[in-house]
Amino acid sequence: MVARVRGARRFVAGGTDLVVKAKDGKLAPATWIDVAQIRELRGISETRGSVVIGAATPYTEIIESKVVRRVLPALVEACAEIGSVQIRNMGTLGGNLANASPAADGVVPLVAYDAEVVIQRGARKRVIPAVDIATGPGRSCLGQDELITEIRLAKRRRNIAAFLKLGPRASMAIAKVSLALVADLRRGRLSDVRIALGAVAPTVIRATHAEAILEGNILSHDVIARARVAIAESDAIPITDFRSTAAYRRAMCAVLLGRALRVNSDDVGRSGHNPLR
Amino acid sequence: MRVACEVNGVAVVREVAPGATLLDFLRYDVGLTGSKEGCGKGECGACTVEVDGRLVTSCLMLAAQVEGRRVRTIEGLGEGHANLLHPVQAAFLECGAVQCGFCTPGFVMAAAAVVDACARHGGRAPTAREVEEGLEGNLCRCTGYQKIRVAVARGVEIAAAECSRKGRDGAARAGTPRTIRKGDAR
Repeated sequence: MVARVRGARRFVAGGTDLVVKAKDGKLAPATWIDVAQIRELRGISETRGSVVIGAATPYTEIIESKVVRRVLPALVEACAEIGSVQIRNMGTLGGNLANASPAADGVVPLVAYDAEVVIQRGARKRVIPAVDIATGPGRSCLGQDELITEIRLAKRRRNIAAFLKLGPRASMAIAKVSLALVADLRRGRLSDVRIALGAVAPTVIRATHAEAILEGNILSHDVIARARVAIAESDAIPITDFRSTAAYRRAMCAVLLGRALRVNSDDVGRSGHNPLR
Repeated sequence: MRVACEVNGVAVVREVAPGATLLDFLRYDVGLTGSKEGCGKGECGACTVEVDGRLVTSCLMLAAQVEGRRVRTIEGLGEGHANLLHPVQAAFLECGAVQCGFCTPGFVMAAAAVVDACARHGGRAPTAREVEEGLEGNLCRCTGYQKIRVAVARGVEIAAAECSRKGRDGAARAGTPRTIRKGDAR
């Protein structure tokens, strides 16, 4: 059906980014194809080993989902930070991924949870890790007529999860820095550590240096201190722009990591607690 | 292109430009000018309407995207309520939660969603955080937020009173036909 549309074409779901860009004259003319109401692209399902989120499921439905709240608390915290009630009723994770903003709140936890993104073009399907969808600010690996259809998240035994964001205000703010951390903490030792950072690189990135310092180690003051240095100096590669400075962003990566670890070590397993709100 | 949808309970069919927003469709094609354009970027909430029962910023939704869906605007919000005012509209009047008024339709739509959610939960009072989150997508350039917050709480009280009154009236109405039927020589 898509191929029958002549000339340039573009998929639209919630429209919260695309319509703004179109109004600003930043998009080449194209026929827009609305996918927001396609039933197969909406909804959340759970299998034995994974949770599958339809790419056009609005954030509000993700936040309200009992399954997501139980299995993916950092994703719930991130979706709850996005925009406003109105924006969360419209916006989708598929759109957040395709928009490829380095500050995308929804993408940061997806990267931390090692999400896999299913992309379809006609009958042809490919699966790409969430971290690889964006190739630069506003640029993605999506080809002509490729549509993100679903996001797959493996269930893993992890008892700590956090999403923290710094912005100029609590609502309708684009992140200066954001961080998602998930890990499993048993007898003081961390394993399966994943840290993702938003707004400190050309795309959302994994903080692999900090992860390596934390992985398999006892959560001591020394380990936390070394991880904080690593995330600020080795992982983050921020720029100075009108939202923030590179130096502030680096410093705040360390602060957010410290907070994420403190929140979780003081209060293991209980999520939904965001000291910044 | 042709768009057919339901606006405030009325079936509407209009020819619109493909790039027209829902807000332009409502204001210029349907003639409902209650929803306002503030920023045009989804930041200020002055254009807030409901689509299929969920709040959206109509400046960011395309008219074509409401094909076959139910839209409710500030003009239809009071439908079915005393004096055609939703409890939160009555509360805004009572509390004087209006300054220049430009943001008011959007604020009322967002506030009504908070009040309706509380009504669904047995008329319990909203927490301060629930009010703040419910209104986070709306800006008041006059900074009249305090009275708006008070009006939301008052709206919940009015809704609860309306609900119990309807309950009593409903019980009375339910009883009446039975009496009539008894008297009926059926």
